[in-house]
Amino acid sequence: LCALALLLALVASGCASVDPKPFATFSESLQELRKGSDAVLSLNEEQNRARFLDKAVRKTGPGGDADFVGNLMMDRDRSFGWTMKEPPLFLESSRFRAAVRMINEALVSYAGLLADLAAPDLVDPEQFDRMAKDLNGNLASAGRRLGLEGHESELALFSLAASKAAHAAIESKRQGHLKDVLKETQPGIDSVAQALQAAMRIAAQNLEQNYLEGFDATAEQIPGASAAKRRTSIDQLLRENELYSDRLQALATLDHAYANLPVAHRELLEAIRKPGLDMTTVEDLYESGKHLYSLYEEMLAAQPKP
Amino acid sequence: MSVSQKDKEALIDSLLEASRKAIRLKLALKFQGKDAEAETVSDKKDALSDEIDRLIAGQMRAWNTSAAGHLATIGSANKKLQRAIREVKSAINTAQAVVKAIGYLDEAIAVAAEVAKKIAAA
Repeated sequence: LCALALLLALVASGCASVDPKPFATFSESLQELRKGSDAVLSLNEEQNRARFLDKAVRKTGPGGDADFVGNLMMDRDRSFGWTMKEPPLFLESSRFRAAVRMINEALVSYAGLLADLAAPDLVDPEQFDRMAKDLNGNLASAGRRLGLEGHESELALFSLAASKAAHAAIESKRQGHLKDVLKETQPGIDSVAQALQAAMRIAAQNLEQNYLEGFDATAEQIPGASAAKRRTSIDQLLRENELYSDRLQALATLDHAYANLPVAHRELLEAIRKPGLDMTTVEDLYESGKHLYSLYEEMLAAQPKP
Repeated sequence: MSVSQKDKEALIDSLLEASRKAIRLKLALKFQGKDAEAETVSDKKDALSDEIDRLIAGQMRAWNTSAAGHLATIGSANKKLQRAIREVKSAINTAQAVVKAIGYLDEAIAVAAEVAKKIAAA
């Protein structure tokens, strides 16, 4: 009886559960980053397409550039894909947006699976309490039938120790898996985060190019125009400045968040090793996600209506 | 000698700066009523803009090519996590199966006791 009680004490002391909160926060943050980056890239894509159409109209008038139209012709390749001699920016930006979205989707799935593996309901202590009761009932009944009466307390303690041991073993298995995946994936997360930061820099250059072209088109209307037209054009420039500034802020937030992603990922491993530790970067990532969401709402509201 | 991504980024930044200056110059010429000169600057700026578009498209193309490797890395981590979740669930199911098996054992003992009684009575 003493040995069983000792085993029970040992088992109970060695099966602290994983704190699921940092994993859930990490997962929610990545969902916001996916939404925010796709929103900014979709705005770039729309502007690239509109700018391409404006340029096409300019270049294909009388005596215009025949190659400009000819170069739009697609070729089919052997893998049922297509190629183009020189795909225009809007087509490249569409594929770029899709690739960024796919990586963000994969990251969201990854964070979701980490949260599932760390979730309290996966290894629910109540499930093991029920198991202990069932085991005790079955053993006591079997013991009675075998004529082993008068050992109920030992059987109860054995049932409890067995279920606690099973709980501890499975909890340890869960934590082992989490630690292994977090450690093995860290270099991959480091390089994915760097790639996403690079993607945000490309998006910022694309955004600046679209802004400058829009600014140029509006500003050239001002010299020699009537006072009313000048007022309208200058008002338009101010609105374009606001949109540009909001989108730059969204890209800066994304850049900051992607820079924090590897650190937050490392903190998840620390959360298992040292429960109760402050998850400052995971929280920072979450704040970035929330900020991005509010910027996203503002950008949608400020978007010129067709 | 191949040009690094960083160098290409810096080149695009400097061309964007040149484009900004061309827009300012074009505006200044237009305000001075020098429309012909403004038109020449505008044509140069448009050519510059085409070049910037081409370079940004090239940067995006290069990025898209490298994306496949990153997707494979995360995809492999996701498979490991799915396997881990299945293993944990399976371990819990096994523990529950053991408890149930002991219950069946109890029923088997009851049947055996019944049979033993009947044999003894015969």
